[in-house]
Amino acid sequence: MTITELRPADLGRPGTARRSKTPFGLTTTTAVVVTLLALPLAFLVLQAVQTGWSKLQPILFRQFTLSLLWNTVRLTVVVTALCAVVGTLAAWLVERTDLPGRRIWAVLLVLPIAVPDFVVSFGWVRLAPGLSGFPGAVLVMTFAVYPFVYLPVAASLRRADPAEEEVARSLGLGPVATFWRVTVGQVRLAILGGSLIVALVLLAEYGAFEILRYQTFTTEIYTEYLNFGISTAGALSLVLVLLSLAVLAAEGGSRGGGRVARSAPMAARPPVRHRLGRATPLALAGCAAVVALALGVPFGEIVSLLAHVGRSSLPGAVSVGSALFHTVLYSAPAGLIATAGAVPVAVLSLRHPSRLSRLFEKGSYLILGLPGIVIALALVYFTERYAGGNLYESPVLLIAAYSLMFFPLALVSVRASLAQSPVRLEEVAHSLGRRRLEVLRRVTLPLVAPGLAVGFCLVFLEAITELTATLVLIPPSTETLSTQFWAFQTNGYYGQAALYAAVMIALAAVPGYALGRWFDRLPSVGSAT
Amino acid sequence: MNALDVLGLEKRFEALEVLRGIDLAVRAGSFTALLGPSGSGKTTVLRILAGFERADRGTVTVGGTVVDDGHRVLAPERRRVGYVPQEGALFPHMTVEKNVGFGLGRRRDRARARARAEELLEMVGLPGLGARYPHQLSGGQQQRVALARALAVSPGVILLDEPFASLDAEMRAAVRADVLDVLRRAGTTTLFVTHDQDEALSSADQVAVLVDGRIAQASGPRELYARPASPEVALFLGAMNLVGGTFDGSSVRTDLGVLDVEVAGEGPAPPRSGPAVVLVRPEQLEVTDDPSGSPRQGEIVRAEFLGHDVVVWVKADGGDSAAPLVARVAGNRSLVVGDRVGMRAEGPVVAWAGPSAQT
Repeated sequence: MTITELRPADLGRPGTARRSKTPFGLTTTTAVVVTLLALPLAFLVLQAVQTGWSKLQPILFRQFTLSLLWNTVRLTVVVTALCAVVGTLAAWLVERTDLPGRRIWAVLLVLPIAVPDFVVSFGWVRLAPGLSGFPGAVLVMTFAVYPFVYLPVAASLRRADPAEEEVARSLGLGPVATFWRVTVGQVRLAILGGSLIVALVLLAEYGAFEILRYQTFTTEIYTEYLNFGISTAGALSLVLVLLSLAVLAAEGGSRGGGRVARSAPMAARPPVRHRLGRATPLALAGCAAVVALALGVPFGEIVSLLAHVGRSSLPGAVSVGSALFHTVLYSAPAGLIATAGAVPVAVLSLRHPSRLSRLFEKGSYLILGLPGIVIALALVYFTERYAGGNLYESPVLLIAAYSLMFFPLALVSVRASLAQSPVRLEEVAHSLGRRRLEVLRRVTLPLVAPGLAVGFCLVFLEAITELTATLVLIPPSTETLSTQFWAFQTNGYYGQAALYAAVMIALAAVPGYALGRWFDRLPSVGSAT
Repeated sequence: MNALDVLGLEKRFEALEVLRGIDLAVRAGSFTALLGPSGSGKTTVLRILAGFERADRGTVTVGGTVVDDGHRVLAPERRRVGYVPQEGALFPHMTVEKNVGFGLGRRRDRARARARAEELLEMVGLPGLGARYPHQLSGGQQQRVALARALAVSPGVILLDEPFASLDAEMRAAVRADVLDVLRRAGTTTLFVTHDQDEALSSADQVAVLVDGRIAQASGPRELYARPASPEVALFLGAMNLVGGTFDGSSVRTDLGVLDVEVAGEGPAPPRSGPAVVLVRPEQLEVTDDPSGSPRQGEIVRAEFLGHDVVVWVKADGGDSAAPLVARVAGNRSLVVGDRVGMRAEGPVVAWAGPSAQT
C-alpha cells in the first residue's frame, strides 16, 4: 500500500492510554537502551572523580572557560531562534499559502539537511575568506540546521485543523494576528521540538566551527583532548552537559503543562491556502534566498573547486569508492540500530506514561548535545575495562558510537509517528486474541513504518558526516568520506576535499530527498508532540 | 446461564471516583444496553470488561471464568471478549479481508481463514468487498467490517462502544437495524454503550442505566419506561414532569389533582402515606383552555409544533422557581406562547417516597 492511504479520519483519536500494567520486557529493554545512552555521562563523572576537584577547579574557573561559555551560549540562542523563525516561515509558506512551485520548494527546503554542516561552512569560507567568528557561525549554522525545525513544523501544519484559522478570521483577527495567535499556537510543540534538536546539535557541532575558527566548548574539548588528554576535556564536557540540561529544561518549561487539544481528531479536509497576492515575489525571493544560501553556496564552491583542480591530482575512483563503502557500512547499521532501539523507548513513553518513562525519554535527548569525541572515548573506556579492549578500532565500536550519538533523532521520529497511531487499534488487536509481540509486529510497526524510515534516514544522514568520533574509532587503514574530506581540507587540498564533499552530498541526497517527499505526501508523520 | 457477571465493580482515576460498585448480569444470547449520560463512566466499564483497564475492586466473570477480581487480571487476548470501539478502528494498513481474518488461526490455515472472512462479510451484508482498504468504505460499512472482525473469533461476549454515534442520523437507524440483526442471527451476547435513550429502549432486551457510578436500574425497556426505579432514572429517560405530592392510601394528592398510584409488578410497594415524588408523563398532563375549572393554572412559555401533536411548556402560577411543566397535546389544538391555561393530571402515575421538604 502507499503511505497516503493512512487516512487519519478513519482511525479515531490518537494518543496515550493507560493499559492495565507495564509489561516487564518493555521496561527492561528500555532500561537497557537508556543505560547504554547513559554510558558517556557515567564516563565523564568517573573521569571527573578520578581527576579530583583540586585539579578540575583551575580548569573550570578561568577566564577562558567564561569566554567559551559566552561563545557557546550566544551562538546556541541566536541560531536556535533564527532557525525557529526561518523554519516556521518556510514551512508556513509551503504548507499554507499558494506559493508557486510548492512541491519543488518542499524538497529544496529540506535538502540542506543532506549537506554536512562542515561542507556548508567550507563552501562559505572558500567563497568569503573573511567570514569567521560569531557572524559567520550564525550565518552558516542557521542555514545548515534549520530543516530540523522545518520538517516537524511542516508536518504539524499539515495536520492542524484549518477551521481554527477560519474561526479566528471570523472573530475579526487579521492575517498577521491570526498567524501569530492561532497558527503558531497550533504548531508550537513542533517548533519547540525542532528547536530542541537544533540547540543540542549546535552544542555538539565540531567541524563547521573549526573551519570558521569559532571556539565553542566542543571545539575546545577536542583540542584539549589532542593536547592534554581526557581529564580537562572531560571537565569541559561536564559543563556542556549542564548546558544541554538547561536546553532541555527550557524546552520543557516552554511546553507548559497543558496538552494541545484538537477539536476534531485530525484535520478532515485539506487546509485552505492563503493567497499571497502581491507578496508572492517577496515570498519567492525569501525561499530562493534560503535555498541559495544553504544549498547554492556549498554547491557552487564545490563545483568551482572541482573545475579548477586538475583531474590527475584528484584521488582515484578506488579510494573514493572505498571511503564511500565504509561510510555506508558504518552509517547504515547505526541507522537501523538506533531506530530499533527507539521503538521500546517510544512505546513505553507513549503507551505507558509514568514519571519514569518520561524521565527515560527526556534523558535520552542529552546525548545529542555531547561531542562525538566524548562518546567515542566513553565507549573505548568501557570496552577496555569490561570487554578486554577487543573491540577497539573495530567497526562495532564505531557503529555503536553513531547509534548512541544520533539516537534522539530516531526517537523523535518514531515517537511522533507512534503518537499519531491510535492506541485503539492495538487494543482491538489484543481483544482479537493476539499477544503483545504479535500486535507490535502486525499492527504497531506497520503503522509507524514511516516514522521508522524517517528515523533511519536522519540517523544515517548525521552518521555520514560525523567527524570526531570517527577520527578516534575508525579501524586502522580505513577511511570514510568525512575523514578523507577532513584530511584534505586541513592540509589545504581543497579540490580533493571538494570531491569527497560532493560524494557525501550525493550519498546524503538520497535519504534527504526521500525525507522531503515523505513529509510532502504524508499527513501522519510529524512532530514530537 | 449468564454470559457476563459484574459484581461490585469500582474504579477511580486518581481523585476521580468513576465507578462506585457496578452490578450487572447479562444473560447469554441477550442484548443489553448500558445507558448513561456522557462522562458517567460507561466506556470505563467496557474497557474493564475488555481488559484494557483493571478494576480497583469487584469481580468480572465472563462465561463462568473470573477475568478480573481486582487483584489478578486475565490478559485481553485470553478473555474471548470482542470489542468494537466507536469508530470501528479498522487496521488501515490491511484489506477488509485481512482485517476480518486478523484474529483467525495461524498462517497454515490461510485458506480457511479466507473462507471464514468471506462468510462473515456476507453475514454483515458486504460480500465481495474483501480486497478493499478501510478508507475506501463508508462509515457504516466500516462499522460492519469491525463487527465481522470481532465476530470472527466467536467471542463469548461482544462489547460495542457507542457503535452508531459517529454515523449521521439517516444512516444510523439503518446500520443499527443491520447490526442488531447480524448479532441476533449469530446468537452473540452483546453489551453496548450509548447515551441515547431512544437507541437503548428501541434495540435492547435489557437496559442498564448508569447514574453516579452505579447501575440505578437494569430491566427490560418497557418495564424501565413504565416503572423507572427512581426519579433520576425517570428524568434521564426523557422529558418528564416530577411534581411533589402526598401519599393517601392507594392514591397520591398533588396540585394537579388526586391520582391513582400504579402498583409496580415487582420491587417495594409505594408507601400509603407521607411525602411523594410523582412522575407525570407529558401525555398524562391535560391542558385546558378553561383555567378556572382546573386544579392548577399557568401560562404557556414555549410551544413546539410536531405535526400530529404539540409539546407545550407551561409555567405554573405561584410555582416560584419550579421548572415549567411539559405536556403533549393533540396537534389540532391552537396553543401559542402567552396563552392562559388550566392543568390537570390523569393517573395512574408512578410515585416514590419523597423528601418532606418537597411540596
